[in-house]
Amino acid sequence: MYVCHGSNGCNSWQKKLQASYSLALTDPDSPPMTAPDTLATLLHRCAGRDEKALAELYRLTAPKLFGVALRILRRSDWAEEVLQECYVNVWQHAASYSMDKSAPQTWLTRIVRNRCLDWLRRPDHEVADIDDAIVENWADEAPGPLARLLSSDDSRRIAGCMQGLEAAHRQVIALAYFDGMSHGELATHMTLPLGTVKSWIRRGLEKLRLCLG
Amino acid sequence: MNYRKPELQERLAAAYALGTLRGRARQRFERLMVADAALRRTVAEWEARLAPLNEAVEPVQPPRSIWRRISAQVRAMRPAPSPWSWHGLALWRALAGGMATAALVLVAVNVQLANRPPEVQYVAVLQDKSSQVAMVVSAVDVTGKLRVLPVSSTTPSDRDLELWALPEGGKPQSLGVVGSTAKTELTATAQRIANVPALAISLEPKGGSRTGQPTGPVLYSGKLLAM
Repeated sequence: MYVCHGSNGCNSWQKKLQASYSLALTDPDSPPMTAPDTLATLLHRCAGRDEKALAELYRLTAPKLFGVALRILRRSDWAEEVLQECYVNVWQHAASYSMDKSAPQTWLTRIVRNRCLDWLRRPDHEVADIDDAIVENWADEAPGPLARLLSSDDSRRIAGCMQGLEAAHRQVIALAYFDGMSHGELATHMTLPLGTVKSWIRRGLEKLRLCLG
Repeated sequence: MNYRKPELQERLAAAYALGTLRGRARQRFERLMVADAALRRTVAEWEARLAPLNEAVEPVQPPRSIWRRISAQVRAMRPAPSPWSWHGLALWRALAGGMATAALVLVAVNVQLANRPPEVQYVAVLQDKSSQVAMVVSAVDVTGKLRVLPVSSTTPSDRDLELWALPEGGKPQSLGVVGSTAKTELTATAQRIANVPALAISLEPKGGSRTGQPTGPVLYSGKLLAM
């Protein structure tokens, strides 16, 4: 469960998190995203049982997906296991990928996110306290996660829309998306009534949808 | 809940993509998605909307051991050599198709056999499915020994390779168990290959098939050629 304790507890990093969302956006030094066409071609080759294509796909996409899994699961051994399962899954189901339906990166991310959320369903897979290095890292102000959002037009747009949300709405949405927190965990974590959390998320998502179009 | 209501569908799709739809509700929603293309589209739209957020996640280089494990798992999933039909057409087609390669290999074998005793009468070059030469079988004459020379064959330690004569239209006849790395000489078997068009090697339990017929997959096969 998510429990806040210690002097460097939730309040401090929450403030940092909020601060990081209102950062003036500066140029990131993150590497450019791989072109969707490149990934789609690799997936197509995976469907044709080309093991070299899987190796290349892994090289290009694993660090990001490992980062995603690590943030949700907050345990390296779990994230490693999920990552392994997901790439084997990708290998087995590459033929079902269709670029018409989703961008390759989105498809890959969905597989990892869904696997992580499934993982958290198991009663013996209770995640550690959120207040650890990964969160601290996320909350760091420079070069900061928001700065990384500048790397493409799409992410600049969502960064702008996130900034347009009320701070509290932004925070619950970020914690739900990045940290895989459920409504109940958010309520405990932020010491808020469950109904409030649900309504903030609903209103936040609705505003995001209108903003992103 | 009436899942048909568009506002509800939109809200559940958003919660699904965000990750706040959890537990049994998430599973129920996934079952609905399977049957509902419009719902899948709504979810995909939400996933695409939120996906750019992932650029905010710092990439972390995973330990090298993960790729090694993925790679090993993928290798283990490679399709096993399928048991070809002994009586069906597939094996005969494969044999016919292998002829061109076999002929080329024979040139090489002929060079090796250049100082062969003049009485060598039969040679079969046995190939695997990818036309790699695995074994060369030769007979001095139809009354003598069969020599089986492994070229690139392998066997799991708990299995044996068995050599079969494949008479046209008849059942395979066992010629005996052969080594996968060392040369084997099968005595008093050469007469059993007279008028046999092809030979094959199958993977069998230790000591060879107990049924008198091949039980494992055919690993190698080739036409038997009179010299």
